[in-house]
Amino acid sequence: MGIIKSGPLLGMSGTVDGLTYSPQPNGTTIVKRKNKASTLPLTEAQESVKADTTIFNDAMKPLLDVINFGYQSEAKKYKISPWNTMVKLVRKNSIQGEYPNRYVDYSRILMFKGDLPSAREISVSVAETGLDFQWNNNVPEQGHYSDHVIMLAYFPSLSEARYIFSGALRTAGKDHLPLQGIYNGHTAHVYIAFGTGDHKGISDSIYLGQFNW
Amino acid sequence: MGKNKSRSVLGDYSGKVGTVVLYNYRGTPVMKPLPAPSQEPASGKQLEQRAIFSLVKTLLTSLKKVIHTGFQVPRKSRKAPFDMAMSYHMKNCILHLAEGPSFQLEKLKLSNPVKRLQSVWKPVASVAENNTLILNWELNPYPQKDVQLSDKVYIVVYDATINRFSTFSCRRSDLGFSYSFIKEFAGHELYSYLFLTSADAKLVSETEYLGKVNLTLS
Repeated sequence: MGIIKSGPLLGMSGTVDGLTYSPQPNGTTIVKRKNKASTLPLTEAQESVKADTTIFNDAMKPLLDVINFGYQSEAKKYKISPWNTMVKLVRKNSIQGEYPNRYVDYSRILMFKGDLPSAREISVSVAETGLDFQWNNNVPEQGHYSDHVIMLAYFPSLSEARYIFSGALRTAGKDHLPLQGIYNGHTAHVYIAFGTGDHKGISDSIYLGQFNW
Repeated sequence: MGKNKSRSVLGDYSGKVGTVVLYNYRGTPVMKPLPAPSQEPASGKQLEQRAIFSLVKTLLTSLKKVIHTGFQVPRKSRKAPFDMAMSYHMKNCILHLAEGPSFQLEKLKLSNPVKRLQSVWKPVASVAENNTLILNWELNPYPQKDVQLSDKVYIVVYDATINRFSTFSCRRSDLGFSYSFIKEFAGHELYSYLFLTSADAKLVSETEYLGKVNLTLS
């Protein structure tokens, strides 16, 4: 390891030609050979984290478009991508159980995140052609009558999601999410949220439970 | 093949070069002659593994072009599509029977979507007279955003009687496909599969197994 105290390399960060530079809080810069991957066997805690990554990515990958939409306003706060924002905020709390029986608890996942208020008295029921959503059509203080409902039904066993980002107006009080074109006999996890007309503001999603389609 | 890990022409090689093997043992560079193949007879497990390998390899070799199209490889993976298909089928599609390994044809996987395309809706395989195989499908009433009518449908048919694969292709908008086999094929058992790719082959759907049918002349 070398310590750079002056010169053009002072303050440099990253790896160049196998040498890693890292600036230190005391104003110097440390240079060392790039770390190699460890050859030690993984500990159980490391295995657990590794398994979490796999489980969580497999569960959420079909929802990439949803997350890119649902975390776009939140991602601006952290200056990272919407997907990474979701992982940062959601992953730790959504995986339950002891390793090696870890599983994703869909009721703990926030599919959309933002500051817009949601609605009260939300209910959903399975109809012949899809899901019927109902909510109290009063406009809350920070909401607007032109807000749209956002409906999402996610089928993990099919790796398929059906969603409508710009549904009925908040004042309508009800909307329908068609599920035709999805094979029957699978379980859907259903979420609802509200978004502004220009798609810049969004509310937190609310988990409405599991439904058999 | 030896790999030079340093920037210098000499030193830090590892791997096989000519008749020697170079490696690094706890910081000491070591060179040794090539190991000879083992003279011991293969164990039962080794023989079984070899049987599985040759079974899968024989079956998949004729599908090489289709697998190259359908098996998408994650960017960071260093595997080739065909190697990945070999690995998948050896792990997942083999039934271990007393008389030896057997391949489960209903689990054949011709595509591995990394960038996923929605498949066709309700595909069905049936037969008609004159040895005709008919496949039908519908357009999904609520298609995903990447779905195009110009998507290419790859149809793979396995004839279990003569152990041969045939590959056909058409478009999603055709909503069906039919092919008349020669009359000597009457009574042959056919397994049909299909998967879709976008017109530029960048998106791939999951493989759908359409079941087993028997050809008939009348």
